[in-house]
Amino acid sequence: MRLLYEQESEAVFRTICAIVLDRATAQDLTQEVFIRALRSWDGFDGRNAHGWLLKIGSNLAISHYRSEKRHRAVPPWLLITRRRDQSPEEFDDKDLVSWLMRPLNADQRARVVLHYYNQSPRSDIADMLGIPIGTVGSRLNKAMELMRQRAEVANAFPSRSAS
Amino acid sequence: MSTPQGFEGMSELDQQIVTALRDGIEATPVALPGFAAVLTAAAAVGVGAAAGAAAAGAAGAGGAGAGGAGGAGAGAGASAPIHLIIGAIAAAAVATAVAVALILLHLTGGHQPLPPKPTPHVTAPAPAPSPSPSPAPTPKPTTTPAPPAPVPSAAPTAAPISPPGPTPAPTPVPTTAPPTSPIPTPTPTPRCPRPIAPVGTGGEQPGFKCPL
Repeated sequence: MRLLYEQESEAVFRTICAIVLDRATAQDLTQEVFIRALRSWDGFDGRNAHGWLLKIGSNLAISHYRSEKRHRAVPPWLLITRRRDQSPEEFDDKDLVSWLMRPLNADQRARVVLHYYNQSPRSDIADMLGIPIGTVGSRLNKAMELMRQRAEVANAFPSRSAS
Repeated sequence: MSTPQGFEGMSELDQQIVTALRDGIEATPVALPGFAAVLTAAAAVGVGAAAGAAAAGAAGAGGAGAGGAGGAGAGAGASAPIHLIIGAIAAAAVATAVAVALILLHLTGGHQPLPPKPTPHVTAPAPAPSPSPSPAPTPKPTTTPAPPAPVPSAAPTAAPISPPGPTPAPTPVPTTAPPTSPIPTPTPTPRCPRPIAPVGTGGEQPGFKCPL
C-alpha cells in the first residue's frame, strides 16, 4: 500500500484538485481516498489500482463538491472578483484550468479530468461514475462546449497559439 | 491503459483547451502528507469504531468532562483518545441539552399547578355579585353570604333609609323602624308619614305637621 501511495497519490491529488479547484481540500480528500482504500483493501481485486483509486477519488470529490455547494453561504462568483478583472492571458497554467473549469459542475469536471488528463476510456469513466457510456460522451461534449464558449468570449488563446 | 483520446478530429480551439488543461493540472504543486500520516489517520478510523462504544459508555455514565480530560491527557500521539474526546464532548452536549429541556419542562410544569389556586379564588366572587354592595374583601366566602339574606328583605321597605349602610347596620334597622312604627319617630325627619296617617283621621300625632 505504501508503494501504491507513492505511485498514485499525485495523480489522485491532481484529479481531485481539478474537480474541487481547491488545493487544501484536494489534500484532505486525497488522504481520505487512501484511507478508504485501506479499509476496503480486502475487496480490491488487484487489477487496475490506478482506476480503482481514481474511482474512489472522483466520486469523493463529486460528493464533497455537492455537499459544499449545498452549504455554501456565499456564491463563488463573489469570491473571485479579483480574477474577473484579470485577463485569461495573464493566468498561469493552473489558473487557466481553474478559469476554464469554473462554469462546469463537479460531474462535468470529473469527466473532463478523467478523460483528457488521466486519459481514461469512456467505458472506464462510465464504470467509475456509475453512468451509461452514452451519458459520458454527451456530457463530455457539453463540458467542452461550455469551455469553448468561455474561451471564445474571453479570447483566451490567441497569444498562446501564436507563441 | 490505452490512450483513447488524442487530438484527432478536434478543432484547434479544443486542442488548445485540452492542452491547457493538461499543462495546468500538471503544473499544480503537490504537497501531500507522508504515508505514515495516512496510516495514522486510517488507524484512527479503524480504532474509532471500536472506541466509539467505550466512549459512549464512559460518557453515558455521566463522566463526560472526566472522559474528555482523560482522553486529552492520553492523546499524546495516539488517535483513539481523539474519538474518546469527541464521544465525551458529544455526550456532554446531549446531556446539557437534556438538562436544559428538563429544566424548561420543570419551569413550564411549575406554572401549570398555579391555575387551580385561582379557581377557588375565582369561585368566591361568583356568589359575590348578589352582595356586591358589601365591600368586605377578605371575609367574602364566610361572612358575606349570611348578611345578604336580611338585606334584600329590608331593602324594599327601608331602602330610602339606609341603603348605603354597611352590612351589620341594616340588621337592626328593618326590625324596628318600618313595621313597628306607624307613628313617625324623630329619627325619620326627612321622611313624611303621609300614606300612613292622613291629617284629621286621628292617626297622626298631635303637634306634628307634615310639610308635604
